[in-house]
Amino acid sequence: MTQLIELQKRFMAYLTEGQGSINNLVLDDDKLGADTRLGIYRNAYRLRLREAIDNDHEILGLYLGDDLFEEMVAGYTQQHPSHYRSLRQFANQLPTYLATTEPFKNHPIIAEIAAFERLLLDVFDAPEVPRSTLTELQQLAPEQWPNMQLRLHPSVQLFNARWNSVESWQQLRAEQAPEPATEQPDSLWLMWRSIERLSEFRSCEPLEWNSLQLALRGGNFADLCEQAATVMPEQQVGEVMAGQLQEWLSIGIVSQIVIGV
Amino acid sequence: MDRQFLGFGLGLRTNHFQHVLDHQPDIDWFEVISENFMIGGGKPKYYLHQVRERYPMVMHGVSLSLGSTDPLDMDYLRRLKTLAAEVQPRWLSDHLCWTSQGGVNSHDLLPMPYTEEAIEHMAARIRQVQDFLGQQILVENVSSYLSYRDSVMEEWEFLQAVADRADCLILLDINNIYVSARNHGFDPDLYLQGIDPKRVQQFHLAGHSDYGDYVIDTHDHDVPDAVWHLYGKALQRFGAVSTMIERDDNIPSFEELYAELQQAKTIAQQQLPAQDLITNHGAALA
Repeated sequence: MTQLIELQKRFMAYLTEGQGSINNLVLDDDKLGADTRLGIYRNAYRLRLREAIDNDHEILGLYLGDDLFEEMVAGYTQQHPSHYRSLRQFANQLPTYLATTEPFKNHPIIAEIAAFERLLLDVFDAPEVPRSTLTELQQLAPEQWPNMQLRLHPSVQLFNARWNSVESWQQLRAEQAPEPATEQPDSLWLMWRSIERLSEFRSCEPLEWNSLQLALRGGNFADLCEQAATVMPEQQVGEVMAGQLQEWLSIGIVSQIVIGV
Repeated sequence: MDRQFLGFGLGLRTNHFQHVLDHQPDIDWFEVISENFMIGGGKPKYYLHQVRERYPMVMHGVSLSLGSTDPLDMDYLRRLKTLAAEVQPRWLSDHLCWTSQGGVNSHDLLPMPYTEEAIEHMAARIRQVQDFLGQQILVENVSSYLSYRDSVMEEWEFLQAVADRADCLILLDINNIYVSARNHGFDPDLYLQGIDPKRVQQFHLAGHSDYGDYVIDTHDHDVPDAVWHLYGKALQRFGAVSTMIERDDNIPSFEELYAELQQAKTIAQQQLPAQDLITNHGAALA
């Protein structure tokens, strides 16, 4: 009798690699042979993983076309058996796979589109927490402003594209043919889930990008202003940064205003 | 009988969240897939709490991998316990199967060999889970497409032995019994007769895809006549058992599922005396 652990090892090897000495563990009968019976499980395994990628990467699929999409699915599932409990995480390594594997790595925009779509998933299911409001800010005494730290909403993601990947994603989403891939370094995007629980994104200027990065690292408002003063006249800093903060509050990306000492 | 009878429920699916909140349909209870809500928050969690405020709920897991030879995933169990503390479900369930080995997840409900070793292994793990959660759980029979040469008993004998040795309850999926009966050529009546009614706490009803030589459990079709027929026999054998329609794919409108659930109620009313169909909310079925 085969030990349970040995049986499970052989079954899993068969599912993930399509090979191994499993057939002699399974009964043949008049209705169906062992190969057919095992094949039902192997097909289901492949289809389930394919469907997970397809669900998560609808626009990437359109960009690649059917043949390349199938090549990607076959290669990725072979190289990355799922170590996750949920299929939601199964394609987490897809951007890295595309950035490092022929023929996809020859077109870096493909990995970028995949990375953008995975961030959209993170935006969608990030934890929900209360959001700070403009009223909260208005209740602060002016002397408290420099020391305030902004905790950003957990759904906030920053995406730095080197190619016209987001624009191509938008064009395909609108059922238009995408423009040819073009390198455009430092195309910066802010992504978040709105107060109405819709996934949003918009482009971001370097000043705002750097402010968001600093806020994520725990910098207070004085730090943000100091950083801004390196790229604009000092007398404009207060007004520009206050305006930026108000906009962040209005779109719901600040979850907490913490007054430090 | 002291079993909890919740009445007739549905699996709560993402595309019905808003409908349920807007219309508050006359459903006795909902079953949720535990894994769908074991995240920090976001939209699904919001709807879960909203629906829970209005309806009794049970939690159904798909990845506990009770039959696996990998160690039990204690991190998963901790998160399951936390979710259960939030949701306060009437009970929790998972499957009589294994899903992962060597850290690799098949994302499928794979069959066990029906051996003494497997009974002992599975029962010990269920006891461990029940000790950790502080409550009995339900284990559900899965559809299967193959039999192992090493098996020395029938599936129902295995299920009953595991339930007895672990002292757990049983969730009988009527469709899965039908699918496995077709695929392996056994009599589904023997399955029903082989299960002790005292252990059965819940029924699942679902549909499948019929390929002639074999049947695939897709849970993406209406409940077919053959499964309704078997459901009638199950009611005769087990009495009033909390029943739900489990639709996992190709999800129809809420109204369609609701209509299908009414059919389950009608069959129950034909098979059982009215006083048996009083739910533990005290409501008799109209």
